Amino acid sequence: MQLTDAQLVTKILRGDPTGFQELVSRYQKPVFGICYRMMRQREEAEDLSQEVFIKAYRYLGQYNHEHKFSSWILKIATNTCIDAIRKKRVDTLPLDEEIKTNQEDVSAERAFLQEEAHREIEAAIGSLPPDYRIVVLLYHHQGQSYQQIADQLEIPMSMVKNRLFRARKMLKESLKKLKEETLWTAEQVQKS
Amino acid sequence: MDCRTSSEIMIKQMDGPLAEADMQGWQQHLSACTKCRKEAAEWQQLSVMLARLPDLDPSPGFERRVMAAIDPMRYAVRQPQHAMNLGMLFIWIGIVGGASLLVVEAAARMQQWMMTWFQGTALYRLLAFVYEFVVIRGIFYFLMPQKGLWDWLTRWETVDSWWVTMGTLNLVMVLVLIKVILDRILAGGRGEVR
Ligand SMILES: [Zn+2]
Repeated sequence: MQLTDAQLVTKILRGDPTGFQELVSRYQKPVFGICYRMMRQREEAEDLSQEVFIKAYRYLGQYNHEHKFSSWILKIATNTCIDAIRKKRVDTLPLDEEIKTNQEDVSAERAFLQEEAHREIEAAIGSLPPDYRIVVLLYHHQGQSYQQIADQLEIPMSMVKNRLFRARKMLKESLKKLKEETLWTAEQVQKS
Repeated sequence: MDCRTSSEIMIKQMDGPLAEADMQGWQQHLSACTKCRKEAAEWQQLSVMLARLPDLDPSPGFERRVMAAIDPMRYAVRQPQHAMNLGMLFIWIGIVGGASLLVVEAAARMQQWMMTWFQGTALYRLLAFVYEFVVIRGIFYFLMPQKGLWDWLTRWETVDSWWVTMGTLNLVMVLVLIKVILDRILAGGRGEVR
């Protein structure tokens, strides 16, 4: 029988740290996903993700069982990344590293198309200012509600809506631009 | 419907299925407007891309590295330690209580000495009260921040026990203070202490 997140937390607080490994295993993907997409640098994202879990462990006593554990850990991840970005004082990070995903179980052609689509959306997300990027990731990828995001970022819900609204417009525009650039390059290749 | 409303509906659509009323008018507009059809397709594409955003994996061994970095004893149960602390608590209450009684006794003698100067006057009563208050409470407020010394004396591991003890100590001192004041009132305000 699998323990719930809350049961695991209780288990750890009663002195059994092995329960934490299970929590890490459950939330490493969402936490790393946020860190990687926010920092766009694998090593840094790994370090930050580790920091997130260490913080979570340290402050586990403060976790409120009325909230979902997933929301709580995402809040820590969000704050850790935003702090890290502020410290670097970089607004939009350059796309010096492409976010790579595993696509082993699809046909070569589909894999190529998917890879292309992923590359485009990752680039578009990466070009958003961090405050907008985090909202998109939390809403569209982590499935958090407006209210949860407002709690996580400690901003009013109207601001969450506003940022998401603008971020979506920016995403659409940059996808359009990427498409045009790709077409233009293709034409140039054909001409030569 | 105009193109602006149509655009708003497209963004709204990203939050979930549209209401029937919105849907109908919008579909009508789309069938008539090439510009909005194109835009709707772009929104659709963005929705799909966002929905298909893949999960990302940290490098192998991530869990292990996290587990190596945390303190496994952080939430370890310290039952025997607590039992010892409770014993220590009573010993300390005894020591501190006794010591404070001695201090109060000394304070009372000091008052008797003071009495010869201000005997029976209202000023005397005021001064005596302030004096007791400052001396007795003063000891408490002096001890409060001495946690380093306290830790060294007891090597206690929980912060809670410090506050429990200081709370008890405070209570003892307040009781002693009340007793001293009562003594004086019972002495009929003639300045005879004890
Ligand atoms: Zn239109």
